[in-house]
Amino acid sequence: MGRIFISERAIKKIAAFAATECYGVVGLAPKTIYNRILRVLKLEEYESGVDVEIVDNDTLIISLFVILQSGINVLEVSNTIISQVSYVVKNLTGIKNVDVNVIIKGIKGEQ
Amino acid sequence: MKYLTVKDLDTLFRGSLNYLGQKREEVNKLNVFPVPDGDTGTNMYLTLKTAIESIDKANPKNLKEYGKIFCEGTLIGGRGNSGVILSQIIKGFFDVIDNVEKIDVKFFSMALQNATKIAYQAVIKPVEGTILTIVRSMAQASLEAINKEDFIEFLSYIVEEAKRTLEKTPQMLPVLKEAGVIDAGGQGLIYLFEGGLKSLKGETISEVKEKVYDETIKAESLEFKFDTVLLCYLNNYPEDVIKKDLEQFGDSIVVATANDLTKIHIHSNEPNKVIAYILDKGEIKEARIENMQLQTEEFAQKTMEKPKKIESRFDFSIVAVAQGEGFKKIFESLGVEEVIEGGQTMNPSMQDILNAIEKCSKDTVFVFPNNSNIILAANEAKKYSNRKRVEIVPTKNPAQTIPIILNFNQEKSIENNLSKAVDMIKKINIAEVTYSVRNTTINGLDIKENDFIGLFDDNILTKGTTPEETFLSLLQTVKEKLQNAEFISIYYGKDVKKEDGEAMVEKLSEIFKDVEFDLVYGGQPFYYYIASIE
Repeated sequence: MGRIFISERAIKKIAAFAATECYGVVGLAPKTIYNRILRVLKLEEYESGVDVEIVDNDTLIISLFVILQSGINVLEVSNTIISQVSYVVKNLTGIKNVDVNVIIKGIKGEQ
Repeated sequence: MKYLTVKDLDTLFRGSLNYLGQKREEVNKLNVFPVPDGDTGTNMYLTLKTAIESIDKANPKNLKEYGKIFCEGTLIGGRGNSGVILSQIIKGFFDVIDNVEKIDVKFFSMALQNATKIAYQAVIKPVEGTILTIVRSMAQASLEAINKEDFIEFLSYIVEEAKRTLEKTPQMLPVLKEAGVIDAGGQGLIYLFEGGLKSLKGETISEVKEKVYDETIKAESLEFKFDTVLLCYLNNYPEDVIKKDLEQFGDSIVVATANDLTKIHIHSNEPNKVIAYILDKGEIKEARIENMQLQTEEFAQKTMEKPKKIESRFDFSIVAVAQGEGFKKIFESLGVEEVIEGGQTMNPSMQDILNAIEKCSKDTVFVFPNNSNIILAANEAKKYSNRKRVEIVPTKNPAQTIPIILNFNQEKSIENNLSKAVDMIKKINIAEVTYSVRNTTINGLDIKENDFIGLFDDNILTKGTTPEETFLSLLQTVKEKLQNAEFISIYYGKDVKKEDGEAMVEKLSEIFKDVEFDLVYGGQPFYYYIASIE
């Protein structure tokens, strides 16, 4: 009847927006090693803070490079990111297995 | 009370903890966002509990120390999203407290504002209609009530305002509206404040004991039979007076007013008296009375009926895959111990089949895959099952299975039954009517999408405009093969009306005079008719 293709870029966008809606996430950071200076990505660059590995049609591994608020339980926030991003991606794309890795690139100070 | 000391603050938080403990199941049920896992109440309760426990251990002397330890407690104990947000709120709250011994109204308001600020800081895109909205409305309310001198009055105002905001959360957040609930985190925060307020007033809130879940519900006699809910206009008649007066009629009384409308909830044996009482005070808009006694009896009956275990009457157990409730019922009545849900579009996994095999009572299990796609999975399951002997009867259709099971003889050996079953597969012809999912040309037939097609032993032979017409022409096409047929059992699918099927069988009986037709509900999707021909 027809096929549906979802690009990596689209998945990255979905994951990035879901992550930034999580409480405790103050931004995404660039994943590349060339960007040595830690900076918060702008809205239009969000997808460079996400890595997507497509294992097969039903399996995805998403890695998120995030910056969290200081003075917050990092472990709990990370768990929330994992469950929320995985839920949103599964829901919107219908892909069955979505694994999410969270890499904390930095902590943002209070001031 | 004009200000709070360390001791008062401690009383407040302990009250919060206990109240939240009582209400946590209620809060859990509200949880829909973002992941429907239903643990907001528990998370908030445990977060607060860790904080109180660390206070118990450290026994702080002044407010600053108390704040520091409490913040650490919530930070470490913060569980889940709501726990983390709560820890930020608490942190913001205590941040401003420095070298003071008493918290007055103004100071409390300042602390709440800072709590809001800190809580909002940790998120880029704050979603409105969540706990964040509630804490903001509390800070707002605290500013409005800053001229109140009495702390309890001040706190009551804040709680009332927050409740009003909470009622609006479904309008702010579509997921809440869809689920028909208010925000769970926000509700938790309000219970936290409400509990604190109650304990400041001097009410004792009992500690919760861990509840044992999955209690069996019995039909017990209730003290009050009728669950009564009234919506009424009471013209500003004081709520607490009504509440007091209602106590004579029953328990579980809730009186809540929004705008002019008051909602009254009571469990009572005399709802007529309640209505008479309310009519005396104002006007009733809506009334609903339900008999809880009957409800619990019904519920208990339902739960009691549930466990029914089928035990095979043969030396072996039978596992069959089927789609459609009709087939499922037929199989169960035939003594199939485990019916696995599955079929054309939804193939059960090897694990599903294996699980079903393991559940069976006998040492030998016959598996009927009932679909060519599932035969493979069934064979895999056979390999992995080491506790039971598994035999596959490679049926391609549930309609095939039924005559086979009917022909099993419990006095014969397992081997005998098995070989007979495998022999029978070849002798039973299958006729099916379904629809085409795409345009194609096959066997000289030009088939359009959504045309009805008739299959005989998996070959597409006819097409038609109605399922019934297709089935009729299908049987006529294969007339020669039906010469030896005695029985044709037709299973109609869930998209077929029984009357249509009956009309078709009538016509069929006229054409095929020597054949006995039988029409049974199969409830299968996609296939309008499946028939087994013996």
